[in-house]
Amino acid sequence: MHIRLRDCATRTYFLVDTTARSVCADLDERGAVRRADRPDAALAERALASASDYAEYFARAVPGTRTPDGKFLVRGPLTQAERAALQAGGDVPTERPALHLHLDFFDPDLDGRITLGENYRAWRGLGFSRFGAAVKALFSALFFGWPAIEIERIGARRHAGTGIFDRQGAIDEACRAPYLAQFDAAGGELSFGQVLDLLERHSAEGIVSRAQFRSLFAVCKRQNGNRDVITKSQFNGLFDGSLLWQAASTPNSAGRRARWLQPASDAA
Amino acid sequence: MRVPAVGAPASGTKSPHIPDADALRAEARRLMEPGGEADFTAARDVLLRALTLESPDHDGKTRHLLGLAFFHLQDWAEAERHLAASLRSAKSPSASALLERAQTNRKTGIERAVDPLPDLRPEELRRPPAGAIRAPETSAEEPPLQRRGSLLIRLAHAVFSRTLGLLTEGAVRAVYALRKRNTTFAFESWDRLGTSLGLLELGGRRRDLNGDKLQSTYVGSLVGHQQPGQRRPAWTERFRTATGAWTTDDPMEGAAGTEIQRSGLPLKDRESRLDAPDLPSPREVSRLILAPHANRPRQEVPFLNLLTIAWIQAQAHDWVSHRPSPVPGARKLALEADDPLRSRYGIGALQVPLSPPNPMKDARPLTYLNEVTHWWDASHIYGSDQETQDRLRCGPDGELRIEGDLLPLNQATGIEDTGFARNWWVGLDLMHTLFVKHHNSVCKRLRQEHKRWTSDEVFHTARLINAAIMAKIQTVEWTPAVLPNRKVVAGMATNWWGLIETWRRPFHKRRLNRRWEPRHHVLGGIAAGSRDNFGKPYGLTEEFAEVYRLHAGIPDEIRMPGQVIPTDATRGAGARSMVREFGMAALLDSFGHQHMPALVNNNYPAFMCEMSVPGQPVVDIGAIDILRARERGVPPYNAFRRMLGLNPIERFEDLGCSAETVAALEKLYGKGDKGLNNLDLLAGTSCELWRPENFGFGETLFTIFIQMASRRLHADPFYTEKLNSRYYTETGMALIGKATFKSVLLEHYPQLARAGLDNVENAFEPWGTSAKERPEEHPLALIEAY
Repeated sequence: MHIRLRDCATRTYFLVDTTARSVCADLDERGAVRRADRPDAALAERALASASDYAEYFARAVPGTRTPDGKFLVRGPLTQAERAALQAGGDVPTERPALHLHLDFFDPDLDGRITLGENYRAWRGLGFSRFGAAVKALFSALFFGWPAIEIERIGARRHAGTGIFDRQGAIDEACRAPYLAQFDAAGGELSFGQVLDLLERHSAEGIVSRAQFRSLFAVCKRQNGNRDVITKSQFNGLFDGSLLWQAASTPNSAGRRARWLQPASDAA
Repeated sequence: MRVPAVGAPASGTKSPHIPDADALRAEARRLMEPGGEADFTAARDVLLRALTLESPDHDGKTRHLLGLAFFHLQDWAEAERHLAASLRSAKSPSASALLERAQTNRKTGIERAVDPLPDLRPEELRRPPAGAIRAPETSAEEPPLQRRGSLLIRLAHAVFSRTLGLLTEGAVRAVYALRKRNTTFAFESWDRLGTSLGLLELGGRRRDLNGDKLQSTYVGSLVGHQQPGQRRPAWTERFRTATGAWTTDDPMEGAAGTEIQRSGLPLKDRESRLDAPDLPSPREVSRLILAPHANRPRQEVPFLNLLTIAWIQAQAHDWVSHRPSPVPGARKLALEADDPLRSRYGIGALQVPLSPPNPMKDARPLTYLNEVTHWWDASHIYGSDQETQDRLRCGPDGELRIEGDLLPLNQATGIEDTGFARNWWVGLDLMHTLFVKHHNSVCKRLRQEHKRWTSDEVFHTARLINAAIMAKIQTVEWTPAVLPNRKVVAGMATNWWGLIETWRRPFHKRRLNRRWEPRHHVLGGIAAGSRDNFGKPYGLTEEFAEVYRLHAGIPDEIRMPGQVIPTDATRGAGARSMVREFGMAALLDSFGHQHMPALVNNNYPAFMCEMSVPGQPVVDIGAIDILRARERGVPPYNAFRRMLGLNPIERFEDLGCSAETVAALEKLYGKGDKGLNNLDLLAGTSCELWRPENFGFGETLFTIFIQMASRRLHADPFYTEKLNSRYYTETGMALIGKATFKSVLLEHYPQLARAGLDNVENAFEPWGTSAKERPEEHPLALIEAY
């Protein structure tokens, strides 16, 4: 497993390959790491032990989770392109843009392209019916890239939205602030109607943005015991990439979750 | 410690030391009774000093007090010595009673505070649960594939099931919508209908309870706040795990160490009523409503034997247990001036530890962890953690440790070593021993057919089968025995076999999952059907735990041939002594013949109203039962009914109890709405004697039962989609199909047939008579066709 880690105590970033047992670290805090950036043996061993422990129990490097020992925050996987760049001695940023991290959920092979099939399976994993997932996969492909969505280029192709993701896919905190303030004022959760009102007031929302939020509502409703509310942590999870993983890991009433969370070799 | 100075002996007085000994005794009494914070160690030291001054102890008072001090310090041997000496000096009924209790406690070793269960450590519970379970060794032998039929047949069956299912759902909704709503008790509607319509209305009630009346305490996150994206160990698809984790794809759903859930209102609408004003003392409620009346025999149920209460206690230990608090004395219950405990034990208050708080970081108020698995997996036999499970196993054939009829002894606790050994008494010993033996018997059969299987494969498969046999017995035998009412008997059979099978065939000919049976939880049964947790992660609820406080069903004594043994003496180490002395068969025989006390008001066993438990020499279980509901945010009786969609009572007389009981309720809670709204849940359910025909307990309890008895099966993949020969083997399915409580008893103790077991079809009915001789003791014979 290739995994991005951030030390909870020192905030140092590590890129770890648990299979090759290699560790690189951003000790100079320049926001990027290359293959030559090797930490000392003790530090490397510590990061490797935590990452290996994580790899034993997790199917993917899920952003927002912690290693089982609680020492490191997982900041997502390395894409194929990033792995190649690292191998070639190039720079790999320590943090992926929030939007890309969010979209990695739809790209299980991490090749930077979300195919129709991947898109469909991801929507199914979020609990949508076969028909609903097919419609969502088709429409998102029509709006964001046909036949496959290029993750690196999606920022430019996005239509008017909340503005919380900027053109580079990073989070614009100024845009997000009024939403969070509203959550705080309402005791941590808002009804779907209240969120739609907020959208109307604070964003140049279009039909796509509205449809995306309706999908979010459906995901949150299932997680919240069929209540029409969204919590602040779920709203934040939408932007840091953790909400979709949380939703896909929540089984349906038959006790089943997304099949692709189970690696083929581990199937019963 | 303040000890009065002992003056020099005054010359010329009749007994120069007596005034000083009196002063010391007075000081000791003062130390022992200051409203709950008694210092018995100091009192003991003072009295020992008095004893050196006053020799001999003419009237035995010092010795009596010393015996009392040692009793409170749980030094039973010393208590016995001093009390016996006191009685040699002077007769005293209270000293005599205390001596008897000290003797019993010494024999049962009840003071031993070694916890039989491991700690629940938050840091461990936060880790991925796969790390706390051991993968079994498996052989190359593949489990058999399920025969699925052709695609066309499956499609036709799906359409057939769906159509009939929709029609049934429609009928359930319609009958429920047309129910009588203006009756105080809902059963006044369904119990007056015919069996089919009554069943449909009960189905509607269950549907309603599975909707917005199921509350998850983990809303918005995975159970146990586990992290998303974890990989499920493949073997957990085939077997149950020691901790209950990974039974479904939600890693900790139903696992030990997760929060007990809620029925009715969500957590945010709950509050603790520990400090609510105007509530009577739990001890007073216990004295007036739960404790038995002096000089009146306890009521017994004509149609149930003692195995019934032992069975349900063992099952309850499988499902839910709050961890006992390590901090005693957190709550003081002051005793009234006329409380007999004052004079009997020289105390002014009872001390009740509060429930230990949820140790998890960021835990919400009024959430409590279940220390056992929520699943119906026989964790009381197999344990709820890997270490315990491994310790209980032996040999290459998946067997559990047992020698003859004796379970292994846990040297640390001094009692039998088993999955759940709290509250141990001989009734639990019988149930655990029987099903450990049955596990081993299942292992032998599996081993004959699967010679290449590893010990782990045999063990885990036998566990699946053994647990399913218990689930079946509870569903189609225990419950119908306790509630021998036509609709309930048919309803429980429907839960297991389905309505069609229940209608068409007599009890012994019914089978699970026949080929053309519709796959619908009413028509085809919950068992072997589709899994459904109704969108809320499975877990037993606090409300379930509260209404299952069935202590009234525990007897005061076990009647053995030629002698009567106090139940108190069968607790702790006393259980093993009983099994050694009488043997399993004789004990089962006695339990099968003796009637179970009724679950009604003023019917708690007397010994439980002043019982000793580790760390506490005197507790009143009734008072604790009342206090727990208040503490854990379980609403009082009327509010409890409202939150389940039942109508509240409008006056105490609605409960159907005697005028004497109504007067006691009014004295405790006051008259009018205020009194009604303060009525504690257990006080209300105990007094709820206006019940459907032949009901062993009342409607309020029954409503939670409707929700949970079905949910335990419905939410468990091993009782729904995996209850088939792929997971259980053909042998296992046949064993489950044939199993009844009677057949399990006879397999291991065939001599019970002649002892009376042959008189009955349902082994929870009294064995001493047959349906022909005493129909009132066998109401099931008129309802169920065998």
